Amino acid sequence: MMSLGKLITLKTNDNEEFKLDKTVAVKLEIIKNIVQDVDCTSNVIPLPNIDGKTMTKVVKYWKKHSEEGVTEVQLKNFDQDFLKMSHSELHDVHLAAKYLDDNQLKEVIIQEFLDRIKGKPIEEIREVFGIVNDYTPEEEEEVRRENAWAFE
Amino acid sequence: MLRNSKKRKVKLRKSKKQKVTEEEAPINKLPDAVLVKILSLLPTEEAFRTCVISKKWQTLPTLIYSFNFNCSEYREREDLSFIHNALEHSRSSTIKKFELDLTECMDLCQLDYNLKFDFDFLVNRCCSFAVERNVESLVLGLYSPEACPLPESLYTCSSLITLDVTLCCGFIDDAVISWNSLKSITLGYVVFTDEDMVKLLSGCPSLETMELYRYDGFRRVEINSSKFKTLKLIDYGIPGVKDELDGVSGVRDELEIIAPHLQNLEISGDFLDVKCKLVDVSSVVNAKITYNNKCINHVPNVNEEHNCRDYHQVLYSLIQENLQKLCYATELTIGNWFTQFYRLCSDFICSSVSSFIGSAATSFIPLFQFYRLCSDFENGEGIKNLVNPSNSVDLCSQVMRASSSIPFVEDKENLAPDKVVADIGIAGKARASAKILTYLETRFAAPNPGC
Repeated sequence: MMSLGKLITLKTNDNEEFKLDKTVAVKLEIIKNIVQDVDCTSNVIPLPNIDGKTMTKVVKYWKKHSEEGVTEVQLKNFDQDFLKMSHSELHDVHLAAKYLDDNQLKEVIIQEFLDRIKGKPIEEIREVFGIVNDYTPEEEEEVRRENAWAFE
Repeated sequence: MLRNSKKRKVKLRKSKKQKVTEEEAPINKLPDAVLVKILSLLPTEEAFRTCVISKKWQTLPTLIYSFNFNCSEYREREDLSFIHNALEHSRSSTIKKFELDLTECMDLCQLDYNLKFDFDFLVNRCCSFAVERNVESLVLGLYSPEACPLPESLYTCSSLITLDVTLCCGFIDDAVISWNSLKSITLGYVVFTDEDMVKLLSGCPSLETMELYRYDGFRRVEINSSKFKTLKLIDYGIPGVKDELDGVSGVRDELEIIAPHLQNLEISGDFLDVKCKLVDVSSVVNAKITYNNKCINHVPNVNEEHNCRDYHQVLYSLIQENLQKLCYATELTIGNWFTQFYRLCSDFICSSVSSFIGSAATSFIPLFQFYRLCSDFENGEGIKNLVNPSNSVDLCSQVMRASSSIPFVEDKENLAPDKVVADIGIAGKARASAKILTYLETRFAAPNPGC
């Protein structure tokens, strides 16, 4: 068992350390499992799949969402600001949330991807997300023809 | 695999020119399952168009597991054909949510018999498709509260957890309903007979919540399941529909509610001349009873001359009985029958309010609202008399304090409804553990000169 200190330290793969209140950290299944199952002698939990830059964001999100007395409106505003990041940062946070098994954060990221796609024409989706169109013009024509019903 | 390596080659070739595209787009690095999830949340039309974004996306739309279709009034044929095609191309083995909205075309259906036929075919196909794939949540916007029953294929769907239906008319004859997993149902702009209601309620052993808005047809709701916790009835009757439903005179009957295990009850909105009678709601803890009745002389299609005063007297007694049925509620929101009616029968009010206090107020009640009622009794004596039976001197002085600190009491005519709610909200918060009576301003036809 882990010692009963109040703080838990999470250590990213680039050796950045995050000290978290234990009550915040154990809300996450994965941290709880490590805390309970692993015979740790120190309070440091390594996170080999997450870098410091991403973890900074995740921790910021956790802290705000476990703040006492925080209102729905404040959280909404926070989330809006929080999600102002590049696609690749968004992807990294999604990976981290997935690794940490944080379903709420995962949903928030997926919703953001959805909002960025919704209502946009195909060309714009490609451009906004930097997706390379790997169809040849002939191939694309064929796909469009096969699915013409969807473009009427 | 083959496709992946081919893709990489393509990318390498391009990367010499364009450095930005050297790395795969972040969104393309998401696992297919996540992309399918995102596509499932998009309107289905948009989702299917993403197949041309790149090769990775080509087959993803065929895997979406939530559908969201609607049929617009100006391109109903195109939309119909799209929906059929989308179902044709789907390869998903389970469906989480299925939404089909035809409500925009309700007028078209009445004009165009062929379209109605095509819609029936589509609705049947969609329902069978969804049921075969164990749909959990179904949202159906159909096209008529008179000529469009729920399709038969749905009746024994055991996977269904939530169902939301608008513009339909109950079940076909001899239907047997078996929705064993259904927890929540919402019905709007529907005509359900008493028989439909019995079939529905007996076929849903797990049902917890039912919301009805703009409905007609049934006169009785009897719910005996102990799992059923929440009932909302909002706005009786469908404008322009089924005026002839209610006998020769056009006077509607009572609507009886029998639900001994129910915990949350809301009856709100416009109830025309329907007399809503709570027969057994003995477990209700949270009640919002704010519906409006119209004066009988203002209800359309009433042919006979009715005595307005008698009618109001009947309604008044009913309200009083209903309130007594709710005496165990810990949160009660009521309309303003009291103030509207006390001029007619102030004795009744006095006895009814005090009996309410007597039965509900074993602990503190925020009494601002009672003061509001009682202030109409000209002087403070009325309040004392009312409050004393609940044998709390504290309570009494509290009410008196409230009387001096709340300006609206003196100025009843300029009272804004939200002001009342706000003040009571504060009162409620101050006594989180207390029984709360919220008093809302709603319009109820009183026997006033205009009536």
